[in-house]
Amino acid sequence: MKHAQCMKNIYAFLLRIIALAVFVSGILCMDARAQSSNDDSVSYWQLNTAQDHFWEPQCPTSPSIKDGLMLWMLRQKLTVQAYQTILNSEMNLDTKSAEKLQCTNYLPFLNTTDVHSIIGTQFSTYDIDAEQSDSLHKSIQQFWLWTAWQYRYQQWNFSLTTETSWRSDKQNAYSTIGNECMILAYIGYELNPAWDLIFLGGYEQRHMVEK
Amino acid sequence: MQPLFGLQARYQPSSRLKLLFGVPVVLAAEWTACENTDIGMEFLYTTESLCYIRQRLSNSVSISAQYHGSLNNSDATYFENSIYHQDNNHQITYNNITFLQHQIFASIDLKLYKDVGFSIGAGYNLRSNMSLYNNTNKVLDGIKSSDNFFINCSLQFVRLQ
Repeated sequence: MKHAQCMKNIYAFLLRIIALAVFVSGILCMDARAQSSNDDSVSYWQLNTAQDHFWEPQCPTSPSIKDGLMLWMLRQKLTVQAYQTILNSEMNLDTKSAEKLQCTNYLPFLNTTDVHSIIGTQFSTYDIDAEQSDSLHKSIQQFWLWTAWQYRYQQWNFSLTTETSWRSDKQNAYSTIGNECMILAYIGYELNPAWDLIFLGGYEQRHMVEK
Repeated sequence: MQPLFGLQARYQPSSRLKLLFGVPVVLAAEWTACENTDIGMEFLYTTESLCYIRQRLSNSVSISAQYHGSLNNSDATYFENSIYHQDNNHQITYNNITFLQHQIFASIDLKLYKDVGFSIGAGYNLRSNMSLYNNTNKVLDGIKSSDNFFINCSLQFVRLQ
């Protein structure tokens, strides 16, 4: 019965997603005339890539990104993601459902000088529910803060990033809470408009304790 | 405190081709193979790999197919050093877990306005392999999960110049 209920919840979630897609498609059709030129559209798709590594601060230059100013503007990206899955692990011979909600935002601070900075935040919550009472029930909440400063001097780029996260991790038996800190420095050198070399180094520290 | 070091090289001869390689990103590439087709791949040192193909159907709509593989250990997995197993009425706490997961994924991406995008997709988590360690000893190996289905949607704001 619980499995049937779980599947029913999944189907209801799917229906909501489909309804949302239909709604969005309607907006899309109405907005078709207002769309920008094809060149802008191609640029949009090339920037809105699944591989954010290309736009991390350690890669500040390219033929299409001539200065750090535009890089920071690119990073103004907000992603809200809902995720649902059925885990059927043989470990507990149990069916589990999981949901993840994540919100990420990058806020750039643009200066007219060669120094630019950016703050990124992320909140995510992840829950696993299971049919059996003695099986895994798990809930994770995490808040993440990322900061970066960049300084450009001729072909040199210097970036310093900090990454801090607070995490609460609860499950049947016990829960842990803690934080993680990471600090990284990047030194980039633009050999020519096509080639960049980036050296990075830093420290990471993690501390989780049982509650 | 754990020190971290890396060296990357980036090569972008044009906006149609981007290459990044070194450590920790062993190799990442994006290539606009045809006018409306993007192909990409990424391989991170020990942890993650993905490849995808994206077809732009119009200025506002694209579809993509993606493979994503991730190898998590106890530091990175959702089950971070707190999963336990009920075995013969004994509860065992594992300190270390490695978890290999393959995903295949398809999505529809919509460009709603100049800077706003929305995507919706669905995929499969393929059978995964999990190894559990108690302190330094491997306790269980070869635990496999069944295939399972997932869906997601996202909203993006990407600021163009």
